[in-house]
Amino acid sequence: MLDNLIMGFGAALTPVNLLWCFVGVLAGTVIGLLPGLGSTTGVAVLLPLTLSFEPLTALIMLAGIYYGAQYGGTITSVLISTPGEAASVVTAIDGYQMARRGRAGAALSIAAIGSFVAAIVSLVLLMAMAPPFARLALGFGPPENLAVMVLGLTTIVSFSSAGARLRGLAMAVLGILLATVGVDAATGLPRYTFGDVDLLSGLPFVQVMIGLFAVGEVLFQIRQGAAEPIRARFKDLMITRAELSRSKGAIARGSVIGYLLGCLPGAGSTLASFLAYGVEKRVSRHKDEFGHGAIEGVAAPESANNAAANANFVPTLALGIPGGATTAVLLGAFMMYGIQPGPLLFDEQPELVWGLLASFFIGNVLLLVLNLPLAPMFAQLLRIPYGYMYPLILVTSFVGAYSIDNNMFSVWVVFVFGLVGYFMKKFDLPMAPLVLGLVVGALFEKALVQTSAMGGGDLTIILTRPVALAVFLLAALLLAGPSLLRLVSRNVRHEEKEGV
Amino acid sequence: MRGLIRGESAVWTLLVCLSVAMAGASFGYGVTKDGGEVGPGFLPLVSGVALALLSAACLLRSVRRAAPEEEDVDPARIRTLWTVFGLLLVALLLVPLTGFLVAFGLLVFVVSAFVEKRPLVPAAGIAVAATLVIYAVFVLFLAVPLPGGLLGVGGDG
Amino acid sequence: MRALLAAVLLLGAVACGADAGTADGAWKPRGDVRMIVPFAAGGGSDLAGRALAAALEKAQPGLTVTVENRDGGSGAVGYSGLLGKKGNGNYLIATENAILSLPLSGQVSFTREDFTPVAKLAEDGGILVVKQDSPYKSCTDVVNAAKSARVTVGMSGAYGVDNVIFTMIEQKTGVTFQRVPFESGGELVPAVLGGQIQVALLNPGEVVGQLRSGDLRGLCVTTDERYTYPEFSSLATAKEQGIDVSYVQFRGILAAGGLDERERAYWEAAAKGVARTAEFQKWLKDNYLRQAELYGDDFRTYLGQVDTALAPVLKKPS
Repeated sequence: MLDNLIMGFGAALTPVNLLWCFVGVLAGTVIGLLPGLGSTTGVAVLLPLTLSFEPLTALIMLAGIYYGAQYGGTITSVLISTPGEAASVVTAIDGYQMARRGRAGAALSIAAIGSFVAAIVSLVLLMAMAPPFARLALGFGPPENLAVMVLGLTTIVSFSSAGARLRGLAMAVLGILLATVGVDAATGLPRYTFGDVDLLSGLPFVQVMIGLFAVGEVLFQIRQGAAEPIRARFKDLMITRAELSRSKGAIARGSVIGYLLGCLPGAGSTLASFLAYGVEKRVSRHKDEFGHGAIEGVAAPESANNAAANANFVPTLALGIPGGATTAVLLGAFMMYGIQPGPLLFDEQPELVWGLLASFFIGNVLLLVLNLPLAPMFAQLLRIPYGYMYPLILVTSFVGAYSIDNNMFSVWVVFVFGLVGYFMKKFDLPMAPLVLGLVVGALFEKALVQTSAMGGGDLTIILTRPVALAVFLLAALLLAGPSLLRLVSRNVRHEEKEGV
Repeated sequence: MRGLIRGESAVWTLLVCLSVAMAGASFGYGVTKDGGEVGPGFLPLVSGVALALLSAACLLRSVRRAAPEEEDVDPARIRTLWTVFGLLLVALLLVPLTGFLVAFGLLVFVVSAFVEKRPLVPAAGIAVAATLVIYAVFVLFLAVPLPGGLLGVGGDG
Repeated sequence: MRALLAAVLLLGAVACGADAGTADGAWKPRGDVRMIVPFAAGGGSDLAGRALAAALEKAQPGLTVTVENRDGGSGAVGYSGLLGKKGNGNYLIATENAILSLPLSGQVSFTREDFTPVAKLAEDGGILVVKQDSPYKSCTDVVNAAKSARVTVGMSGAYGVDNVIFTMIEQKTGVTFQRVPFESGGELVPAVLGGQIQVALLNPGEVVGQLRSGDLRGLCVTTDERYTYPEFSSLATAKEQGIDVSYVQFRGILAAGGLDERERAYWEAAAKGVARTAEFQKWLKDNYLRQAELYGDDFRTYLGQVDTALAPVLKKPS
């Protein structure tokens, strides 16, 4: 493996490749900054520019765009509560609160550091055992996915404060219900579309998110009138040692969760970020800070979505199966350069594969070098008076939404959900469960329909799948765990007292 | 702050109605298929019923609960909020006429100059600069065909 | 940054350098041409749209064709988008069988008559594949097994080519398959590799890697004749195995509806140039497609024939 790695670095470390890696990372960051435009669009849009390159150079640049865009989305999540894509929704919760308290620089720094560590961890795992992991991931069929979705939904509990469980649950169920709008994949039957062709593919969740988070937040800030420009001394923008050491565990757990979920074709980085946040809130000693700017609430999901982004390459490189939307586009790019993706790729194109993997290391180093110093700079943007700032946020949100599919429908979705977002904020209804329900709801229904079809209408085939059962059990433990623990400890204390 | 409670009750009532309507429609889609498989109406029915129950519970709570702490909201700000919202709607309706760039450039100018009462010259400068940056990034670099309207300004010919 | 700047300048120059028609009265598109791909980036239709766009640019120097993915509703969203561009000669769509199966579903407001047929350029076949440890050695085995037991097959959507072919096999042989729905061919590969479904029908380009590595086994092809590509020439056709079914996916170009004679003539001529480009030939070879050209009215006739054949297959039993 070491030989391969050295060969890979040899292939990737040419001046031309380094230059395009840098261009890719930079272009990706810029694209990620634009609301609505995430890595998938970035790679698809810039693909034609790379057609004249050598395949390795082209793939290095496209991969650079991929993780550059991931980070770019984080910046807007933190600064203006506008997640660039679904995977950075969770970051917006605590990241934006940190920014409001003048800690935007720290939030951006920990996101950069967490992403970097996660990238390195997941790359090592990717190199060491992509093929066996990919084989294992194949065992994850619809019943297992169903279990994972249920596990994901159990994190809802983490996204609402103790007194507001019911409201959080209601919002999550609303998300699931709204996710059923659109064509049913199995029968081709349109549901709740009222004959509108744009609704056939369902409520577009990136647009919904831009409406809820960006436009809703702007409207709410106007109402509060509280959005003073945030003046912080440059020194205060740096991350402190205490914050760093608090984040260590979060980054480690986030990386592992992200890697595991990212290996599964389809499950993806959004779920990973939600799950990592949920786990962190459970294990953290600062539980009550979550939702009000806990640094672990930024570190964990950012590490998770970056690890998942890299792990998406596990099925892509080892089996020739897309791990997510962006790797699907990259697989298409492979074909355009005349490379046949598939299980033989590692053997037939070692220089290409290892060169690409080595370039991931280089790209992530570039990203860190680029973004650590930039984080406090970006945070300075918050000094712009809000009277100028919010019209600009509104405009970029709408242009960004339009450019997702060049369709005015997207713009109207943002408008309507902007209003919904405003009212949710006004009545203190949590948004993250709604987004979680919307994202997971669609995947949950798909897995449910597939599982039921596999068994010919008989859902008990789940009982024959040990992995699915184990995940279901884990979900049940997560749900009932805290109350069970409390019960046990109370009994123990009770007995101790009686003993005395 | 009686208004807030009444508003919240209205939200939950709306959700009860929405969920009942969607759950009702789910029967038309087929809750199960011939072989007893999960059909297109299954999840809408289950989640619709669940949401109806949850929102009803929340509705009861919000009606019963005592008034929350007084919240200090300046009525002028509420007016500003709806002005901005209205201007947003106007900008969207202007798109087919003036094109996307002009409509939203105007929005930036009008909001910062008249709603936020910033000095005219910087407001106009920022509006023009923002429009140009958006043109460069979206139309030139990303080749997004922004609607040009009757004037044909921007990407779409 | 310099490269970005260069790209911006380049695109700017292209956008500004649009020319307005030629002196001899022949029509030419002004400014950028859009090639709509009604499916997500990365799939077979996307590859087709991008290859055809590149080939068009090569065949007509000075032309800029931008690919635009407008996916959703099994293609319905993209076609509906083109419907709104009636009379605009600058819009094309990378078409395939969905233009026939969607209207037959009765869920959309357009038909093939709403668009201008430009060219059919290639045909894509299907291969029935199973996991390497599957007991099935031929398509006949699959059909025989389905007579007495439940055989799960994947389908990539209610209007996908695989669903059409499985329905055709059912109608010819009287068996019933247990369908498990997925959303794309890309999802079917891991499902059949992981044993979640027993059989899948995929385009050769989608599975050539797994077939060569031995992870999947091809059972038969659903084209009329065997492939000439050496990778697949040993695979028998379904007909050879006694299942009288053949159906191919065509790949071609439609323009917006309501074009005048000069616009139609321009695009037909441009499409004829496409087949001679190296880009086009490379796309055929990389994706194991068969070159099959029909232009203008011949393409219209072909669409009509396939439509007639498809109607009884997709009609829902009431």
